Amino acid sequence: MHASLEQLIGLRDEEPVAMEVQQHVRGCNRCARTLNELVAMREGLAALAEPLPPPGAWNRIVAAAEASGKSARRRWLPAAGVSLVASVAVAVFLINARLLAPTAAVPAAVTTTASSAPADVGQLMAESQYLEHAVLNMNDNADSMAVSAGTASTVAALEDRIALVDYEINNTPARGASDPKLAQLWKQRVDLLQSLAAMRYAQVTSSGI
Amino acid sequence: MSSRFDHSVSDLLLDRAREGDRTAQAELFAAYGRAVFGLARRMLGRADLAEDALQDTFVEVLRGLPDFRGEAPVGMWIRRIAVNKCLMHVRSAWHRYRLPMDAGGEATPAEDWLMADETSPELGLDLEKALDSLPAEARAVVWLHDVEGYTHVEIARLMNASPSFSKSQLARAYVRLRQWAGGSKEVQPCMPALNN
Repeated sequence: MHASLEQLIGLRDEEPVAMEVQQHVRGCNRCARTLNELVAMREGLAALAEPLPPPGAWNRIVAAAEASGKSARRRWLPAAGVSLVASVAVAVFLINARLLAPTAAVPAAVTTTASSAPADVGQLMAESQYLEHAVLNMNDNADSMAVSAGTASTVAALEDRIALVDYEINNTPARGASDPKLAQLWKQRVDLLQSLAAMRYAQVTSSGI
Repeated sequence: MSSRFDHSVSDLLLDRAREGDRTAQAELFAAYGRAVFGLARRMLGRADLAEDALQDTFVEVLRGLPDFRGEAPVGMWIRRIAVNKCLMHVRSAWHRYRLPMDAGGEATPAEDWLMADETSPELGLDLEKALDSLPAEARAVVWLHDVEGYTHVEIARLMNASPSFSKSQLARAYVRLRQWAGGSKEVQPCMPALNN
């Protein structure tokens, strides 16, 4: 019996693979050859030429950024007002989000303990995934709307902070589901997603969509 | 694994870009624009979609720069935005009509990989075309994992899926890449795989 491709890719990438599989591959010409080809394929992909952006791309980006800023200012609302609406809306959102994303099953306890003491990493990951799914659902509507400069800036800041937390999560070695550092980072991610969801909800509801 | 987003820019340049200096922002684009376009081109399989993703990415970068505090390398921040923009395209209606690869939990036997005549194809011969021919999600998994160095756990998080989905997509994509890039014959029936 030969190793599966998943196992050989795991070996190639120095991921944990069962000892019996490693021993088999060491003594099997066919699996060893496939492993070598997997290495070559990865090198071939990495060596593919990096295409140049089309001419004028930067000018179009600047024009799009400026147009985006202008359309945002057309519907200016005080950011504080939007934040207040968002705060009130978050509870409604959490109820509606369940209807928007019925496939994202999350235990009932998850949505009600969002701001309480840190839960274990698995629970926070489930909550994060649930909120992200709901935010994505609303983004389709919200992205096409003109919004206030304050809202756009707040949303961008939240997305920026989520990206930073993701970066830290990706660079934190996992030490199990109860790792306090990892749980703290996931808690931050959940909190930021809740704020982002509230902003998006306020955007969507204030436009009557 | 090094990424095309690894190189850094000076703090001075970043400060100027943050303050809205268009020349500095253009330099930031010069530093990372090609990496973003390359990532998007490989993940999306089409130059026009890649240009859309490039534009969306840098519009968001320009919007987010004033709040970017430099806690993570700027290249990694830009990459994260670019990956999210690309994944939004992958989830879009244009891609949905393309059949996704079987996402079942069964391990892919290595025999799916091996050619009947036991010879190795010329890898890289048509690797670019083969990559473009993969379904959108599979192509994204291949590029994120094999070139950008994302783990299956990270890919799963980005795609709202499980790590086993990512592993399965990668293995099945490899079978197709091997067939298409090497002009392989149809694969042989599989043997049972070893358990991991």
